[in-house]
Parts: sequence; C-alpha cells; structure tokens
Amino acid sequence: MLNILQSDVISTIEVALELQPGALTKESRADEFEQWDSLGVLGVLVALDKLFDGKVGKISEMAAVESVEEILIVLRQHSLID
Amino acid sequence: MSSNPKIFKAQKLKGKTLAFRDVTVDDANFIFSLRMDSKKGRHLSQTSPDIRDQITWIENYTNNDGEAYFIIENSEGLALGTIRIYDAQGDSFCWGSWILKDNAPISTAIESTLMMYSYAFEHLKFKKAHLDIRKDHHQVRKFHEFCGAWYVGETELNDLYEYNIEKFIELQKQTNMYLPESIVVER
Repeated sequence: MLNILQSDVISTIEVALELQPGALTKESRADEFEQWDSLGVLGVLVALDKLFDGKVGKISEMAAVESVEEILIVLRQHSLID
Repeated sequence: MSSNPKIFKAQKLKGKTLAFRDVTVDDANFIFSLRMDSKKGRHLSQTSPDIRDQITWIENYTNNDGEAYFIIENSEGLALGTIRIYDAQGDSFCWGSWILKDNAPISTAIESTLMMYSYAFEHLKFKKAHLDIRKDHHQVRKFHEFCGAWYVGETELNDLYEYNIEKFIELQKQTNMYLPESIVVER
C-alpha cells in the first residue's frame, strides 16, 4: 500500500482535468464534465499512474472506468488505496 | 548508411478493440460528414463544401504514396473516425486528420493514438514525430502533452510540438491496458 488517500486520487483527477478543487465528488461521472472526454481520460490515467508509481498502467479494468467511484473501486481491488 | 523510413499504406491495422482500415472513395460521405461538422471541423484545415472535392482528394490519395489515411472502426466494423500519417521528413512523420464521432467509446482516442504511433514507430521505423496543433484547440494540445510531446515553436495558426519513440515507450507503459499486445498489420 502506498498510503495514498481517496482524497488524493480525487484531487489528482481534478488537476489532470483542470477542474477547480472540490469540483469532483465520489459520485462524479465523466459524462458530467466537458473536460473528461475521450481526450481528457488520458490525462487522468497518466496522472494516476504517476501518483501510484507506475502501477495503474498495468490495470486492465482502468480502460473501462467512467466515474470517480469506478476508479476508486478498481484502485481498491488492486490494493492501491484503503 | 540506412535510408530514411517511408510511410506505407496498410489494408488494415488491428488493435485491442479497434481496427484501422485504409480509406477508399466509398468513405467519402463519412469523412465529409465528419469534416463538415461545425464543432469538429473548426480545428482542421478548411474542407471544400463540395463532396466531389473529397472524392477527388481520396482518389489522389489512393494513387500516391507517402501517406496512410485510415478509417477507425470498432470490432464490428462500425466507423468511429479517421486518422492520417503523412509528411515524412527524414526520420520524422506528422499525423492528423484525427476526428472521432461523438458517440465513439471514451477509450477510442487513446487506443487509436497508441495504434498510430505503434504503426509509425514499430512498423515503419520512424524515430520522431512533428505535430502542428491549432492554437485554439486546448484539449488536443493537453492530450499531446500528456502523451509526452513537447513544445518547440509556433506559426500564426499552430503550436508546433515534437515527439519521439522514447516518449512513446513511456506512454505505452502508462496506458498498457488500452493496447496490451502489438498491433497486427495487413499490407
């Protein structure tokens, strides 16, 4: 475990998408944000991969996530967050 | 001394969920409709409002070497967009004409980019890419920066970026889930 909190994950996604701090919640979905489109998803992925020290790029389920909740679930399943 | 790489057309490239198919004149309507879309077309070079010009352009493309223009399809053969590799300069190439339909799956941008770079770097053996990105296309600029491209200058209309195979290898590691296997190329 890298001791990274759920709030760190959400902040990282906000920065990658150039959203205001607090713009995202656990319930936020990609289709609710213009920035989180098929181009924006790369930023989210690269930022999370850096946050988790290169471990996210190997998780096949990450290709299908379309919400903050789904990202958190996948990260939990892979023991990257509590 | 080895000669510079060249851009070859391919009948088909197969990725994980996508395939690229070489453009034919039968695709003129699809390409025309994408390029005439006011939202998508504003970041592209100007398109003639006459579809016959599109057909002529594709006929010329078909009869000439030096570029590869693909329809991006899903696994059922449904057209999702276009992508083009062109302008070989030494060991560098350019890519563009990248348009995706609004209802394309969210993964299409990343997988199609990885497939295109895989074809250019691993199969055609280019080492670098040069990119012209419209200054007003912030999302695309950010996308290229996340891929690892770096700013090298500007023209009146475009920001100029460069990219190389080392950055692509780094990107492949970060996005492995989108294209875990090598692409299959059908000449």
